Amino acid sequence: MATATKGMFVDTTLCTGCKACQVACKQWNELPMDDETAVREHRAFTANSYDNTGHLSASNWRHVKFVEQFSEDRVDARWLMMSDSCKHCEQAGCLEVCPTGALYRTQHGSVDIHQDVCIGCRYCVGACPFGVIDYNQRTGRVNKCILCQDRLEDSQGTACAKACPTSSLTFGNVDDLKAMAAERVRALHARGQTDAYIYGWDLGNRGTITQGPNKGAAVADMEVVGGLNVFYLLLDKPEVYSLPSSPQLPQRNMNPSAGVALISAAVLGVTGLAAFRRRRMEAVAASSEVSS
Amino acid sequence: MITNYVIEPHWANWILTLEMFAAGLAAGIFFFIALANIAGDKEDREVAARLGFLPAPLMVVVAVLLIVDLGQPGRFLNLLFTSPIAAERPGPFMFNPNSPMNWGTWIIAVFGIMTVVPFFDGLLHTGRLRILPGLVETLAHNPVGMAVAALFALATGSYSGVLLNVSNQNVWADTYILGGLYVVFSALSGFAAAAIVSDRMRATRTAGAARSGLLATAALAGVLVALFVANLSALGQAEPLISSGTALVAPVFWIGVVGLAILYPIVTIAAGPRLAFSRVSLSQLAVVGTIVLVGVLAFRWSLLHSALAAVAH
Repeated sequence: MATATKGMFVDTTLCTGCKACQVACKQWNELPMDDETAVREHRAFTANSYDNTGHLSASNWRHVKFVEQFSEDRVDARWLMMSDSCKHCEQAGCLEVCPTGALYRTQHGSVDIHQDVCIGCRYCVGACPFGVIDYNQRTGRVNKCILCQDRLEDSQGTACAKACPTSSLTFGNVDDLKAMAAERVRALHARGQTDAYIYGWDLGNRGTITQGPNKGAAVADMEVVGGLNVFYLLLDKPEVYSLPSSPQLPQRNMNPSAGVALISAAVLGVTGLAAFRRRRMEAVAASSEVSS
Repeated sequence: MITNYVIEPHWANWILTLEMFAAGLAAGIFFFIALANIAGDKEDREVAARLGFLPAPLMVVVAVLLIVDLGQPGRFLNLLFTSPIAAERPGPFMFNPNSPMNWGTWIIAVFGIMTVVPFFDGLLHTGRLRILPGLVETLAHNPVGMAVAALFALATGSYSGVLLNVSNQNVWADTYILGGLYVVFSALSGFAAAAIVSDRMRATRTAGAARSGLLATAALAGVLVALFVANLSALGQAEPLISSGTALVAPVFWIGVVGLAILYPIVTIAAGPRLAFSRVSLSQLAVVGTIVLVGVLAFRWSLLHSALAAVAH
């Protein structure tokens, strides 16, 4: 039975980069480390601030991003941190292209994977506009955050939100979370932090970036791919957080591409028939020359 | 604009390259067979019958490569039949109209079955088939049936290009032209194979059709490649194909695709009279066909790796 859509609100202004969410996710979902040998041989250091996993992957369903911004004279600095995961898009590119029905929408509105149905074709990997879903070399199938489906069925929230010590991650009904997010942005704007806006839904907030290289640039709430059930409060342009500014569904190319293919096929058919026809005409011409 | 991506080397490895090359070649050869049976004469149909030995084994190779790629033979069935576990999907057959891979699965399945007809026709023409000759003749030489089969062949040739277009990977998703490019390169490989087989059979008249087809298809491929590069350049995404040394994508694209598959047949064939229908010219045409096939392989490889080269940038 369908229930209210569940999701998460990620307030990046509250994130301290403690990675409790990463640890909780790993622990609850029993996810292995990416490369055990690299860790043993001390080669796993990313050299990118305090980032220890680099990106989302088949075994890292949650990733805390660290963005360091400095003024030109390096006197002023700020640290942007964001706990990233699958966004459980309302229009999910991965789900749209899945050729086996392995990816599916749960009764909670999240996007889950039937592992036994997945064939490891990796088409969803190329279709996700956020680079979330990843191929698991160990299982030959794909993995991503499944919004702790097993916990949801037991009326619990996600493990990461449960572990978050600053409430940067809040689990709940998406409608309630949107109201909470709107209230939070209003409060931040009232405090003078006018760069706060929502990535995932358009709740009507507009602002201006107050710090960093993009200082002075206008920002506004963004509804992307029909809305994100895991959405973000950001303080700078999406690209700063390695989020696409205009993520799109892969299906946007389907009809135009099929159309070009059809036209090309039609031209091929005509030229192919013409090749035989021309040869026949040459033969006729040659035989009439001989007879004349 | 896409600013985030996940692509890994295995996305563009040799198994996929060979899979697409073999399926495209099978489709292109079948297209030529269909043309020969629709618009050709007796000699063309003799060559078509000999070419008929190729598509079915090539599709078997495609199936084997697919199994190797997916890891387990049984996994292919999940593309055709709805798994009881995926209860969200209606009906016993798996069909997701939004997924070019699903379209391709069904198209390849039907086309794979169709390739049996020219194979049996080949057996019949070489005296190795003694059962149901009338049925095989009817199926293999019926113009309407061949026209339908040609449509499936062209769909097989184009679907992998549409599949790459319908993604969010750099280069692949930045253009609408891949479906067109893939079908044209499939036909190009078919004409190239026909040129080689015509040479083997000393079929001068069929070689003339293969020669005209090669020239016209190479020219069409040239137009589409020019549009493709212009399209990517306008978006500022052409670097992986124009100048990237990553995984040798740019050199393979320019030397293999533009040089061998497009310019070489155009220059050689358009150079003209030396390639009239003499015995020597036939051999030259076979060389052109062989070189074009190498160029088509370069096309499959460089297009797959272009997304990988874009990541490296």
